[in-house]
Amino acid sequence: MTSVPDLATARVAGLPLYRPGKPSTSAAANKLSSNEAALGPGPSVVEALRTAAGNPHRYPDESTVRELIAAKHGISADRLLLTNGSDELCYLVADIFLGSGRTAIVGDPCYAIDATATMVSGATLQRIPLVNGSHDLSAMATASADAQVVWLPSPHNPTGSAVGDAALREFLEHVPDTCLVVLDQAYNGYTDAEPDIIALLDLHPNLLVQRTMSKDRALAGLRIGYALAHPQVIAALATLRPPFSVNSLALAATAASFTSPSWTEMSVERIREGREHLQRELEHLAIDFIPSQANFVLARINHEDLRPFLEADHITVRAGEDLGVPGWVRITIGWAPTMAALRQALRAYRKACPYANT
Amino acid sequence: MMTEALTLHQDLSLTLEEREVAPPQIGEALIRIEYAGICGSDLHVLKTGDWVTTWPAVLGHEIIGVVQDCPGNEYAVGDRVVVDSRVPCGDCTGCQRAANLCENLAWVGEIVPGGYERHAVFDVALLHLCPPELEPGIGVLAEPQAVAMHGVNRLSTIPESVLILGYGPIGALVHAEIRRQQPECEVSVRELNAERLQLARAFGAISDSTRTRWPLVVDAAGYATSLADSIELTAHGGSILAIAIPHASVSVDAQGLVERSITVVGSVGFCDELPEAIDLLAQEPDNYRALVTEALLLDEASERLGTLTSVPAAGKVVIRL
Ligand SMILES: [Zn+2]
Repeated sequence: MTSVPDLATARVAGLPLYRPGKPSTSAAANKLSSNEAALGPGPSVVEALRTAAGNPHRYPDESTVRELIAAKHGISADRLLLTNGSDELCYLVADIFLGSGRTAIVGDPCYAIDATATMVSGATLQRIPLVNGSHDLSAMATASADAQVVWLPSPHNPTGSAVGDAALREFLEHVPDTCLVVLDQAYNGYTDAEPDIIALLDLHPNLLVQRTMSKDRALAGLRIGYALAHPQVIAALATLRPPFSVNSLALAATAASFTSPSWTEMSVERIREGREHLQRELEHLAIDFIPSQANFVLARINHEDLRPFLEADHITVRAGEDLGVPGWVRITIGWAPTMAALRQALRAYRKACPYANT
Repeated sequence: MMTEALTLHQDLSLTLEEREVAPPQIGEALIRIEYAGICGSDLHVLKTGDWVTTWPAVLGHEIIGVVQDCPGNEYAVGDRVVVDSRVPCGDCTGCQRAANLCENLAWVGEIVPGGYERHAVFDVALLHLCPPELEPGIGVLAEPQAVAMHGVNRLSTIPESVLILGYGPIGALVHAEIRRQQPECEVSVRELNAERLQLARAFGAISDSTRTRWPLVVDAAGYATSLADSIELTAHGGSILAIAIPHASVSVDAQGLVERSITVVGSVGFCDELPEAIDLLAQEPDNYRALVTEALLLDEASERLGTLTSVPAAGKVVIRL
C-alpha cells in the first residue's frame, strides 16, 4: 500500500515547478524579470479597488465585466469566459482536450505554463523548434494532424515575435478542425498590428483566443484573463471552471480599466518607446536580439556575464536558462529611469566583454 | 577633482567636457548627482542664453544626488539630498519675507553650476535630506512638485472645476496637486501636443468639455497669448493661476478682467514647499511615476536637448548621471 504523502509525490513525479521572476532587492521599478507593467494601474482602477475593498463579504458578480468585454469585441457574451489569470484557462483546456494518450504541440522554447498544463494532464508534448525566434508554423501545422491542441502564443514568450495576420490565416487553414488552436495574446496590447481575431473565430470553430489583464492592463497580482471561442467550447470550459474563480477585486479593477482605457493607452505608448530605445541600443552595441512585439526583449547575453553590471542599481532581468534559451536574457521594458540605468549597464558589460556573442 | 559636465558656452554651443570642481569648503558639500530634470526654462536658456550670469554655464536646477564629501559634517557621506534651486541675495526687503520674493532672485544653473554634470559643490543651506525610501528617479521631481504645490497653495480655494492650459510637467504636477487636495474637482485640459494630451487623459483630465468658462484657469502654458486666453476662459468672480513664464509682453482684455471681477495670481518658484514635496514623493511614488516619461544618459542628453526645443516631450525628461 502506498501512503498518502507518497501518492501525492507520485502524481507530480517529473512535472516542473513554475519559477517566478526574482524580486528586485530595492524598488519594484527595478524588476525587469517578470514582464510586469512598469507604470502600474491608473487612478480609476486604484479608486475602483478602494471601493470594492469595502465589500469582500459579497460573492463576485461577473456580469458587468462580461458585458464590457463582449461589447469591446462586438460579440455576444456566450463566446467569452473569464478565468483566474490566463493560466487557469490553460489547465481547463488541458482538462477538456488533453489527457493520457493525446498530444499537444508547442514551440521550443515555449511558455512554461502551456507545457506544465499539458504534462499535468498526462498528454504528450511535442516541441517544434522556433526558427529565428518565430514559430515554425508549417511544421506545427503538419504536426497538428496527429494532435489535439496547438499552444500558440503571439507575441511569443520568451522571444517577443508575433505571427502576422496573413500567416495566422494560412496556418488556421492547414490545421485540421479536430485540433484546437490556443492563440495566447497576452502581449497583444504591445504589437504594431493585430490580427482580426473575431473574423478568425467566425471562420474557425477550433480557434480559442486567450487574453490576460496581467500585462498592458497592469493587474498581474489580481489574476484575471479570458477566453474567446465557439459558444460550445465556452460552455464546456465554464462547466469545468470553479464558479467563483475570478474574485470581486479583479472584476472591479477590470471594469474600471475597460471603462477608462486612457491609462492603458498611455502606458503602452511608453513601453513601445522604451522597447524601440532598447533595441536601438542593442543594435548600437552589436548585441544580438530578437525584434520584439511585446513588453520585453530577448537579447543574446549570458546572464552571469551581465549580472555584475546590474547589481549597483539592483536591477533584475530573467536568465534565459529559466526559459529554455540558455545564453540569452529576457529584459522587461520598464520605467524610463530604470531603462537608462539598464543601458548604462549594457554599455559597461559591452566594454568588459567586447567580443561576447557578436 | 575633474567631472564630466554638459557645458553651455556663451555662443550657445553645448558640449560634453571635463570641468574642474574645487574641493568643498566648510559649509559646502560635494554631491554626486544622480538625476537632473530638464525644465522648460532650461530649454529657453539653451536657445537664448537669457538669465545666465556666469559663463560657461552648466544648466539644471532640478537636482537629486548623494553627498560625497562634507567637510563641516552638516551631512553624512552617503546622504541623499535634493538641491534647492533658489539662490536669494539675502539682503533685499523681499528676502526678509521669503526667499522666492527676493528682488534679485537667481537660480542654480544660472549663477552657479547646476545639475547637468556628474558632480557639483553646493552650499549646505541649499540641501534637503531625503528619506531613505525615496527613489532618486522620483525624487528628481521634488523641485517642480514644490513649484506646483506653491501655485496651488497660493489659491484661497480650489473650486469644483478647473481648466488647465498646457499639460507640460508643471501643468501635470498642478493637476496631481489639485487631485490630491480636492479629489472631487473636475479638471479639464487644453493641450495641442497629442502625447501630452494622452497623459492628461490618463490622469483623468477631460479634454472635450463643452464649458466655455471656468471658475479657475491655470495658465501652465505660457505661450504668447495664454494670459489673454485665460482671461477669456475665466468665469465671473473666478481666478487665474499664472504659473508658466511667458517670453513676450501681451495685451489682455482688461475690461473683461474688471467686469468679471477676475483675480490673477502669479506664482514663481516655491516658499516652504520643498521638504513637503520630498516627503510626498517618498510616500506616493506611484502617483508620479508616469510623469517621468524619458530618461537620458549624459552622452545622450546633448542631442535630445537639441530636439526638445522644437518637439516637446510627453512628460518630464530627466538626465541620469
Ligand atoms: Zn533678495
